[in-house]
Amino acid sequence: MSQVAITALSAIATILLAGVFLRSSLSKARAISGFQRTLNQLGVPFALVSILAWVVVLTEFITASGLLLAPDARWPRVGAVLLAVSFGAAAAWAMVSHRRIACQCFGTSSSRLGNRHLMLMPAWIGLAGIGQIVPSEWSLINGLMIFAGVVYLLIVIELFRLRPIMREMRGYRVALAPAYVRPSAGAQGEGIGS
Amino acid sequence: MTTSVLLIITCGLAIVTFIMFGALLELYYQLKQVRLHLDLVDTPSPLSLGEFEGVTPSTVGLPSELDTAERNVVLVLSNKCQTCFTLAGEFAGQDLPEELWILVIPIFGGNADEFIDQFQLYHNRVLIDRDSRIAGQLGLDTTPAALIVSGGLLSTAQTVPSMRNLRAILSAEEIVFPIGRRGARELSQSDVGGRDHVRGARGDA
Repeated sequence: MSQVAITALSAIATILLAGVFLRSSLSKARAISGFQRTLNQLGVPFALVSILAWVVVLTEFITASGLLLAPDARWPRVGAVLLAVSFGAAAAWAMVSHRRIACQCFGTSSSRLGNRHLMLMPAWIGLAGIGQIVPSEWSLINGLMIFAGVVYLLIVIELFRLRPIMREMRGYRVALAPAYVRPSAGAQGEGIGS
Repeated sequence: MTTSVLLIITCGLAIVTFIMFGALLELYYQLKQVRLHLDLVDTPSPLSLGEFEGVTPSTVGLPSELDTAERNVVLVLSNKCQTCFTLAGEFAGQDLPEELWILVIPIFGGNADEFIDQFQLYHNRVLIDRDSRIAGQLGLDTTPAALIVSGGLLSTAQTVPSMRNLRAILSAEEIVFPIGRRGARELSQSDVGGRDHVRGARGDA
């Protein structure tokens, strides 16, 4: 594999990893109570739940920022591996103790901690490893631009998530309400929301 | 330096935007849950007109002007239900929409005049069904309800859970209930729990 391809792969791995942690941290920050509940269900003492939740959110955010703004530094990848291991351990603990614990990995979500999260752990570590083989090198300005680009990409993803739920809400109303055919509408069944 | 500052501001704004969109998404999910739990909110139910479907309104005691109406809506309100008060409040001291009539049914010995005074429904298209004769004939046992007169004939009837729904009825040309709901059954006591029942009520003096 050529040096250019390896460098590109490393950059993609770094940006992907940073994107995941960025989305995870911002989503958790938005719905912190859900993540606190998850920590509590995992057995974290009530007094520490609030602090630990914010520590995780900040660690994820700093790790993601480090990956993008200091791509040649080692510490962000170490942070990413530590986070991946701790999430894997939490999933393993939930499975071993037969607890049904909502993940809340990206804010509120209905998925439960389990196999899937355990299997993703090597993937995160792998991405960090690829980034470490040939650390990407770009300036702080470029890093900030990539950071902004990643966040805007996350916004686009949110918009795509928003679209079906808005359509569902509209459909829900149409399904429950009779179809009110407006005078301008010709065909039967054509009414509100159609 | 300036570029870095601008980029940092851009990143900050992007983060705020992301959080805002996320909050909007959460809001929609919560709204979905609320709607699922409160199925009755804003959900109209069809009411059966029985043998009176397709007859002229004057047959059941409604004014004969309705017999020649192309499309009118008779909003049936009682003086005891909260939603009726909300709907009446929307028209307090105002002109009624051209195609709207209001039929007030005084129940449980209540006084329809008090209701009309309270909401200043002084209009010649506001009627009082003092002895519940009209409601009794139609078998109307829930308020607020809407009787839709189309082409001078009583065509359909439905509950009116909200002002939004009433506006939709008024601006509609035709009402088509989803398959399986139209005329499926007479509403029983349990079906209309939480609403006022007017069947068998005695009018005020």
